[in-house]
Amino acid sequence: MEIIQIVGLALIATVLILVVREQKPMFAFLLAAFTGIFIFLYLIGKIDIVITVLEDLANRSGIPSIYLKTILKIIGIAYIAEFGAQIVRDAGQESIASKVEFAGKVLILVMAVPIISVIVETVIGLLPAGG
Amino acid sequence: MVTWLGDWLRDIIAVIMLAVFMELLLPNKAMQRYARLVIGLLILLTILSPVLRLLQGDFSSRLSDSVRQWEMGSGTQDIKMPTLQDIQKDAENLSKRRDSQAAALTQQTLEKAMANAVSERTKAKVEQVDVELKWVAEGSRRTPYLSKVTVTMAAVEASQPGKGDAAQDTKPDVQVDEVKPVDVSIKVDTGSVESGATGKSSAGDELAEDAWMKVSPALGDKVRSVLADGWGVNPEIVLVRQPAANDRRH
Repeated sequence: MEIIQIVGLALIATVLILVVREQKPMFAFLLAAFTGIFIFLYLIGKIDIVITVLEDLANRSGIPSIYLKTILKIIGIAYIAEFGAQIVRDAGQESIASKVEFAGKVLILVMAVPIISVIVETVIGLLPAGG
Repeated sequence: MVTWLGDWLRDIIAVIMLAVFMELLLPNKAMQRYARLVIGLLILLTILSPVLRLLQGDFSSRLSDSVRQWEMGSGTQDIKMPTLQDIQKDAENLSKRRDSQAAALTQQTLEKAMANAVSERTKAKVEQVDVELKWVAEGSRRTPYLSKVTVTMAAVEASQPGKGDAAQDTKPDVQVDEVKPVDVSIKVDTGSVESGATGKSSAGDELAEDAWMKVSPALGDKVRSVLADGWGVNPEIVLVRQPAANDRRH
């Protein structure tokens, strides 16, 4: 039961942070960041199962692997950006956190550039050449 | 037809299921709009795929090509400060280019000036002067020096049959002998001096290739002295020639 471990860890960390915060706010932040990173890394391995299912689905249906790659990249970017933004937000730097999220959004949109270019080329190719 | 339709539908359904999974996996709502856009494009591409395939053949390979290109492009556009070595290399290239431009300019100017001076002082017509510059390294700097000067005189009129007198009119002070038999080589390449007598027999070099023949020794010496006076050109690197009598004027 991993969820019990994780919730236990989170509760202990929360109590410790509450205790420490009065004396040393710096260490409270470090503790929070470490707990967050630990849980993230602990669970990132579990996503493996979901990704395997997705890959299996993609292989069986015969859709191009480039689609799956794009989708997985989007998920990864979203998770990492969200994670980093939350840690930064915990430290009280709201503006930097929003910049991190902005970077994540931009990078997700960048994923779309090759797809958009193919579609635009096709639409232009559909138009009669002579106008 | 039915199998093709089935394949197409299966593709669409698979992509939509992928999209649903992805929406589940997305961590927060903020990213969802952006991710939805990309997924929407993918679904559009899947739905359009029969049209695309009809119009432009294999589009999936082109798509993966462009993705790969994009990834490579975004991988190399890391922000990078130029190192000192890069800057120095750039500077070296720039100065090399500047040197060669300056050398080209020098060459042109020299050619023009030499042609003017030779035609003025010898009263012979000069068709062309070619100056070859070579580089010598002096420490870190490279300086050009004259390695070869080729003076092409205009075709001698005397070698045309029936015009022997005309040549003496044009170049009265130089052409003392009859020009035609005196195809004397004064071609002096760097180092090797050929006398006039051997020049005829051993002139199997580039000079004697039909198109060119040597000018009279007097004219050649005069040209050399002009160049030596004006520019300090070593007479040994001066080659004076003229178009051969037979195939000039084409």
